[in-house]
Amino acid sequence: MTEVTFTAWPFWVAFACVFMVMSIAGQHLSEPRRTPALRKVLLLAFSMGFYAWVAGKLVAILVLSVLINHLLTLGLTSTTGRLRQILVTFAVVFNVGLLGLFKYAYFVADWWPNSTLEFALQSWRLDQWMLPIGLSFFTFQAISYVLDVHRGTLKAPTSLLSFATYLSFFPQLVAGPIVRAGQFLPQLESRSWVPNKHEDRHHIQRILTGFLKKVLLGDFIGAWIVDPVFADPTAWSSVEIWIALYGYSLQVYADFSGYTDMAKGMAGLLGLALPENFNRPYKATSPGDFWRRWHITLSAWWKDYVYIPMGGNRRFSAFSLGCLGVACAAIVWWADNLGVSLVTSGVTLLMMAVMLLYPKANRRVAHAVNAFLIMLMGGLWHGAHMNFIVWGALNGAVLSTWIVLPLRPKKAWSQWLGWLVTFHTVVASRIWFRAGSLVHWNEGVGTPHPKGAWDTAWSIWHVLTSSTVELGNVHWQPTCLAGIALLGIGFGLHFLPEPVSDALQNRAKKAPTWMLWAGWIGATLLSTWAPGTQMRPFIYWQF
Amino acid sequence: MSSSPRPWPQWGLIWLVFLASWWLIQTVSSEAPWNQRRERLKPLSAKPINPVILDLDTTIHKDEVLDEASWSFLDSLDSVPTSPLVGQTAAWFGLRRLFLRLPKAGQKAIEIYHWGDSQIEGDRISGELRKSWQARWGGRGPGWTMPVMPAPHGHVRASSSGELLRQTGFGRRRDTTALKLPFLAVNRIPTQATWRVEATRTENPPAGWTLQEIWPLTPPVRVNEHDVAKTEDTLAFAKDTLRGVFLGSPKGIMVHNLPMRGASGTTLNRLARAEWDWLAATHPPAMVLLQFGGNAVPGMTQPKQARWYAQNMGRLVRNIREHFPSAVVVFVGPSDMGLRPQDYPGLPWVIEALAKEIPEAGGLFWDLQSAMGGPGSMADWHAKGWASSDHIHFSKRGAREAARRFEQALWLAWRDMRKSTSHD
Repeated sequence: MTEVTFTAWPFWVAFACVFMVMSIAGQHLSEPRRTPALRKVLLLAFSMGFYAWVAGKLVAILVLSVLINHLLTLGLTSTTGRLRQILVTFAVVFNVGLLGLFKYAYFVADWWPNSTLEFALQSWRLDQWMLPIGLSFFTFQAISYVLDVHRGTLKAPTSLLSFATYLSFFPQLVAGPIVRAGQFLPQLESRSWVPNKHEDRHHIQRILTGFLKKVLLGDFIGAWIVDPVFADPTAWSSVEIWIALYGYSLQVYADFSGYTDMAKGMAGLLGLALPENFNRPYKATSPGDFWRRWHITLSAWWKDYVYIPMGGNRRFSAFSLGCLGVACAAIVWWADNLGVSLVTSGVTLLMMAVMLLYPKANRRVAHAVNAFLIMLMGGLWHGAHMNFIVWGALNGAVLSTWIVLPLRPKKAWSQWLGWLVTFHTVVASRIWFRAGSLVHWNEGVGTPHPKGAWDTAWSIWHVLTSSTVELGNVHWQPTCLAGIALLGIGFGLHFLPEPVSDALQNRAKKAPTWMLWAGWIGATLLSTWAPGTQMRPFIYWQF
Repeated sequence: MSSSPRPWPQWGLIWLVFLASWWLIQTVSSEAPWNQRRERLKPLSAKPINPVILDLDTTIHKDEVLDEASWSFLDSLDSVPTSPLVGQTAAWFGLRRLFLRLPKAGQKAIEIYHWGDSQIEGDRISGELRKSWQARWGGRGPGWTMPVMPAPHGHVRASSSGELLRQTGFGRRRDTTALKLPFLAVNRIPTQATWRVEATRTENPPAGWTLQEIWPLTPPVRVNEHDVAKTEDTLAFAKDTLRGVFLGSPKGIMVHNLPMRGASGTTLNRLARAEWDWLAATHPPAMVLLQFGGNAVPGMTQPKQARWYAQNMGRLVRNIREHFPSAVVVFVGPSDMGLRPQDYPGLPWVIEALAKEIPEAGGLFWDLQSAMGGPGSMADWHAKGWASSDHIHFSKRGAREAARRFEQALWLAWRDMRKSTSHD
């Protein structure tokens, strides 16, 4: 992998070249020659070039995915009945298999000793396979495309050129937002290649906002108050660990939403609109509300292509029951502990008893279980590591509990309680998420996740649960204080009442040009000074 | 015209100015101002060398002349592979002071504290040093011990009955109330318990102990002195909390084995000042060995984490020197670990960072990995049966070999110091 991020100077040199080509071609070519096909060819060439730049030889995986999925969708339109069903199943199996091979084979072999998989691990050196960057994102887009064609949501399969441009569009290729073909493909047919003066200013502002979020809030907070704690958790007090957890929660939001802002801005400069991915998630007043505000396009993907087919909030399906059985068996097998086995069996039996005794509760139980399973799968999607499974399970457990509990969402106390529980569940579950995440480039070579991720997470958990709050033990270093100040600013802006933030945004839109330039200079200075920014990719690039 | 795109030359100019200014910023100001300031201030942040060490020089020469004969063995040292100690002036003065005191250990006890991670559990390394030095300069007993330890002590055999609980002030299940010296752990006796302790059979140095001190958290301490060395005893405890039991002698060499399983040493920085004061008032160290780093390595994902860790250890060295100005602090770096470089990518970062930070903090650094034979030597040690199959921990034979190499490094350092003194 090459060390290139949206906050690196070389990337912007490349983007400037791409933009200038599109701008010159868009303005100088006559209307008949300025065809959508030419635009797609240019975008595809830039996108594949970008992917080859960041992923090297693994660009072949993207090309393979494009070709196979396109052939399968062509097949889908020309067949009916059983053959069509076989084709769509094959398409899903192919995409999930691709993801499984690169993302989960090592995990399974690692956790399943003395098996054929371990043999594979030894003979094929699965531990040295690198995860193609953005695989989880473009695979999900490919699945949505195939299923949309199968369902008839997408009228007819588009050309290979359009599909390849859709799947590989570089601003959103490596970390989303996950765009639906129905939203994206019609935009490619436009003959307007670059935005007008009013729009381009808005897109530049969006890029600038994302840049500042990523560098100022994400990288600085990460380097100053999060990384030191996760490097050696037992050296810090519970107060410092809580600060680091709040810090990481803001960091991951600033980093990911910053990325999305930049992706949207860049796409906008190339005349294409991407969907929104965040809506002030930490203001959510219930776990369900949080997942409707956080990584919106992924949540929508899970909802449309997995959650609803598996029964949604109405019923159990064979798939959801099977998943539940597998999850319970995995917990019992992995924990190898009588207590855990009894609790797992007890919860399952209790659930069955409730459903038998109170048939009216069936729907609510199915809703809770399906939501839990989706969160568990969401955890696994983030990474093949027990840390992400625990993260998914924790969030799933709180989400399910919220579904089961008969709370009154319109009451003020219920909203406050909901916010308190939701926010702190998200913050606390970040222990496992952060401990299992890579922070820097090159960490992924030979180690898909940081060594000792599991122990790091539990060390933090034990410090938080076993030690008393001792302010005297806090290392109030200048960088720590500066990090806390940034934390205050970040959360302060996030929690601003909507009329105030809207007014601020409106005022920002009318900002004079010199202010934009000053912002850019500030952002570039910060990216140069931020600790390790050149080596620090966006957090979601690893997923 | 506002709905038309911006002309491309205008865009070209915008991009040019933007990229050029960014490039200029990167070239001119690659380092944040606050980082530059920190780098400049760094040398000043180190604690000044304690004046107590500086006025040693007059006594040094006098004592050295008196004890010249006791060092004759240095002229015929065995050829043992090792790596040199690294340090700055203040640390060498401390080491020199220790060596000069060693021959006079029969007049006053010299206590050596060896805090470390699981690599030293079961009296490994410390036990070898104790055996060698007690045989040469006198002293009895294992020093500080506890009824419940993470691994059996090599110097004594112990068994207990009743309820005895060990609580540690470090690690995953740490309890801050157990953050007590010397073990950073305590033994709690909820009701009553007995502890039978028996010296393992060693003739040289002589077995047993003549001084027994039982230290509960709350005074009074129970002290028993014996004219004839005891080699076994049964101690009865009522409801209490113990910080440690001292089994030794009033004079001679005491080497204390203080393992902290799973620790990286940073917890020592969290000790209350009163704890250090307690140690200074009861059994002050003449030498402190710190052997950590192995547990910090697996979590390392970038070199700066190693620097943070090393700075933390540097702070610990300064802290110890502040409390025990006449003691020398030697930091033993982590051993070689794993079979492939990619198994522990953080290991070279940690060693490099410690080798830089510890001498700056006034301690001596001994690179155990180099002494083992350098990176990759763990495979050889494992093949020889000197390391366990986890490729991290030494076997008993390996610990003996590591101790031998460490002792050799000390002798070589002292021999060089003596040579330079005689040339003067």
